[in-house]
Amino acid sequence: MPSHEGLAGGGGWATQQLAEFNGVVSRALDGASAIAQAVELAAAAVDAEIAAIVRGGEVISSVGFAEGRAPDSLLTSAGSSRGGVSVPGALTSRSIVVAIDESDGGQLLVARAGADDFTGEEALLLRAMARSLGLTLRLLAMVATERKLRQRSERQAKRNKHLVSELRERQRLLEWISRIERLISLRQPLQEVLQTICKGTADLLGEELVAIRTSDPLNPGYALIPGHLGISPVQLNALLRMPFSGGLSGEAMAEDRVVIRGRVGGQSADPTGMLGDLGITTLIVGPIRESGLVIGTLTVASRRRGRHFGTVDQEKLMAMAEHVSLALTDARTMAELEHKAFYDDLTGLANRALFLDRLEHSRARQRRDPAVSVAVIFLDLNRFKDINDSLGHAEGDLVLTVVGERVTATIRNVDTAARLGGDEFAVMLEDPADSLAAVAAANRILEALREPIHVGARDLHLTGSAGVALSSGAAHSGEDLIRNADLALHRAKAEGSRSSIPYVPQMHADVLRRLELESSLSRGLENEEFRAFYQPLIDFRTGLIVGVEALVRWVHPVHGVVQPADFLDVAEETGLIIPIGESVFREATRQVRDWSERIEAAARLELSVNLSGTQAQNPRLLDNVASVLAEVGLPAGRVVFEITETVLMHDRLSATEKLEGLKALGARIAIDDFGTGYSSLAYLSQFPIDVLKIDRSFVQSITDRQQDFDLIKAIVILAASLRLKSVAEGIETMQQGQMLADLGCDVGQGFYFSRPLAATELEKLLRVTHAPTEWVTKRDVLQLPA
Amino acid sequence: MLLSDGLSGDQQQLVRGAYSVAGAEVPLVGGCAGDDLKMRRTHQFHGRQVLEDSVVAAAIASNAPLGIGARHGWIPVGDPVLVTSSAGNRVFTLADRPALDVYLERLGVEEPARSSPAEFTRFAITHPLGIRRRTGEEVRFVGEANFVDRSLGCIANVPQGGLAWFMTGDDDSVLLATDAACADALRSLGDLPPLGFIAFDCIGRRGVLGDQGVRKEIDRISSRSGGAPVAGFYTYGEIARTAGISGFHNQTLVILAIA
Repeated sequence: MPSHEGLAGGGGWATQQLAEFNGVVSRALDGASAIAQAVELAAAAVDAEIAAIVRGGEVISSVGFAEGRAPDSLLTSAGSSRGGVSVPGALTSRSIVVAIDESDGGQLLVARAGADDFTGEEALLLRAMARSLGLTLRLLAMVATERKLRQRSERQAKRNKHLVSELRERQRLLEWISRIERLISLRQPLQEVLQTICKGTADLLGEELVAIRTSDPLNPGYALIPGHLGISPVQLNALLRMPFSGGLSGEAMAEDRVVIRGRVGGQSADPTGMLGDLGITTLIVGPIRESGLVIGTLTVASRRRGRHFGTVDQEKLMAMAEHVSLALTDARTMAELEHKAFYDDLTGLANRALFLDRLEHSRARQRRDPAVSVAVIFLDLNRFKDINDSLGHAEGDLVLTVVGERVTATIRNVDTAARLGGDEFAVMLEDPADSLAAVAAANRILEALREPIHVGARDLHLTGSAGVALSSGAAHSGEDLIRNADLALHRAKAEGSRSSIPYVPQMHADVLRRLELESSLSRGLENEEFRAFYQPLIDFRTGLIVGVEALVRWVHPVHGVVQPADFLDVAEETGLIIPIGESVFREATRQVRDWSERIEAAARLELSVNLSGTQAQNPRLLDNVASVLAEVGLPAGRVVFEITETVLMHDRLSATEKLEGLKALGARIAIDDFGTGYSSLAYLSQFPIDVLKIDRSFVQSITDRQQDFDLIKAIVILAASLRLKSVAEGIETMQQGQMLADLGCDVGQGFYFSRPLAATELEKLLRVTHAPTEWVTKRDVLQLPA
Repeated sequence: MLLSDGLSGDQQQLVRGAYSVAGAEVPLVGGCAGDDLKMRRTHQFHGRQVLEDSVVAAAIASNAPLGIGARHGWIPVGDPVLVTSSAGNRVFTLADRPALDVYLERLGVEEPARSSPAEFTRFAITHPLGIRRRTGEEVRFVGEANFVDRSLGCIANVPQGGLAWFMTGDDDSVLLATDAACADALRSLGDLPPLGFIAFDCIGRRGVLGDQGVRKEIDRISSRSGGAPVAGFYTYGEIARTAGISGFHNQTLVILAIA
């Protein structure tokens, strides 16, 4: 397994809680304080309200009841199974009872408000805490007894000695326990932990044969043997073939207690006769659990004649069995965490970490044998966001699950499919024949994705895009391969390709160029190289300049004036469009305010600015606009925000909200490039629109194509009937302008009137508007209606 | 209701002590007195007595339920990490790397807080650790860092083997928690209108909000109380026990609604 941040090392939660508990309880100086501490720690560990120690029908210590009000009868009636005691004041609660010590009948009872049952791990922890408390109490009692005995007569000396040796044995038990807990919390391999437990068990019971047996999930009725001591390979084999359901183990598991059997050889205990053959005389078997369920046994076998396993042996075996349970549960919890860390929850495919790991393995193989190759397919779904937005995330997740299944069904067993995040999938092809074979494999996946996907009552028709990268030589790391495939994917998307596109090094060069552009954009922003240019908007009726559209230009110190087409895409993708737009907006508002103060004809000059998709999504848009307008002192009523149909349709909800916000400030909204998108009447009523801008493509063919003439006519009429202003852009000839004016269009804009100009140039135009402009002059000559 | 001296002793033990007397049926609420962030000594009043190093308790009897809400308003930054080594209040490693290094890296801490203990503490006041408990998430105020062994010192224990988050807060998140704490407190009242609110609000939250934000917070609490009077304290630690046996909190707003 590859290492993964957050998973390597560190003990599990239960182990840590137990270690803390042992630390505190074992430092107690007398039994009463050990019990009081244990009660409190047990409740705190599982966030319970009530904990109590009950022995012989008496509450020894409790927490959670008002002082002096622990209800003896209630607690003692809890018996030895779960349930029974409720938390005072709580509507529902759950409780659990675990035995402290096999011999004295003491019990730890814990109750918690709420309907959540105690989990397997919590139950295991409480059981281990109770056992640990039991050991400590015995040890403390022994110390006290020893102290008394020491003062008594010599007659007692022999007994005294016996007690001291028992005391030492208990000390040894605690030593083994802390050693095992240390191994578990250091995350040593499970096998090693179980082996240590086997050794500890053998040492503590003074025996040689130990086996840990757990039910084989693949072969019910038989056992796995994850740990053993003193058993030869031949015997082990025979033991593996022995049925696990009946016999002593079955009894220990069914009754969930330690079972002891002397004089082995009876049919039930030794159906195969094997134990007898091994010379085994006596067996002691304790149940072990995983996540709360009894799943196996810890068995110690003795060859000694007359061997009698007493209470102390039982207690030791139980302590060791509890630790097997702890180790198994801990390992399982960790394995689940690791699975989470390497597999995608939703689709069950590998995640990025595992995919990279597999890829690196494959690359390592390739370095040893250059004939081996590996290819990476990177694919995503087109317009997946729309599915999530329109159908909801639950449906989106369903789609992703289906996509995962289809990808898996399309590839070979040796290949690895992964979900890298969102709707991004990747496939690693082991040793494809050549790049054509890899591309073909990618196309098969794309083909499979085109099959309709049933979601609820709907059939969704999806398409994907894919890029493919093939390793060449030992030069690429796995990350490089993924990145190359991703580059090819972006190219495929940009080109709208229906089939996959293989990576070529040129793509990398393109990206480098883009990166350079990106950094020079940032530099340009710092050096204030982005300036507003202004194109006038002419009122067809008066021929006066009624407004200006502010357009961004990059005045590059080396390349001169850079056109927006050469940098806006990158600015848009990197989000730099937001600060660039803001700086241009600030400059333009200042300029327009300045003009309207100084030039009479510009007193009511309007400012149009474009709003791109990224800008429209910027959550701070409204705040920024409001604060710039306030700072500059330009009334919002003089500003028109232009937004294209495409942007509007893409993000309908958030766009409506933004547009309404801008309207609330007092600004107006224009639809840019009207006629190129959906041009749906529905959204004209849905969005708070004031102006329609007729796209230049129609304007330019108005004189040649009847169709476009009709279309513009329709738009103008539509605008008039909805009381919207119509603006025609891209007017290049007088004839075009004339026809638009004839149709009743309100305002015109285009090279025929003026190209976008720097502020000083535009100011000259503003100053001559007292005289009729060229347009008005010509119109008069042509005798157009006023 | 417990009004205590947060500068003396283990406040979690104090809450547990009170719990051992009152039992599960009685919710506990309260806070630790402050001294305008001088951190020297605080006072508790009992009748005509002015006390230090003490706790004053009041029992509130009511036929109506007592509504208690406790929320912190910190928001996690990035993915959780596993606490791979800790003892009590000290965190040694996170994801097997020195805890301080991971903390600095994940939160993008800049100089001088990377090397100056005082600056670090100033930064850490608004960037606590979150840990997961069965009953939800708890916040651990990071008090200081050991720049030699690269460990972090927290105000309450951070269990090894659990998950931890790095957290941060801003006006919005702190105020959202205000709303949530009020809503929690009101929920326990059922349909009964509140007669009044008593708030125990961590001094650290005041640091995040500033004077302006504090006014907003008080306005919000008042609007939630539906006109009923609101009183409260800025505290050095808050007490709210409604579940489990522990109820001492850091960086939290506790609201008691009485009906």
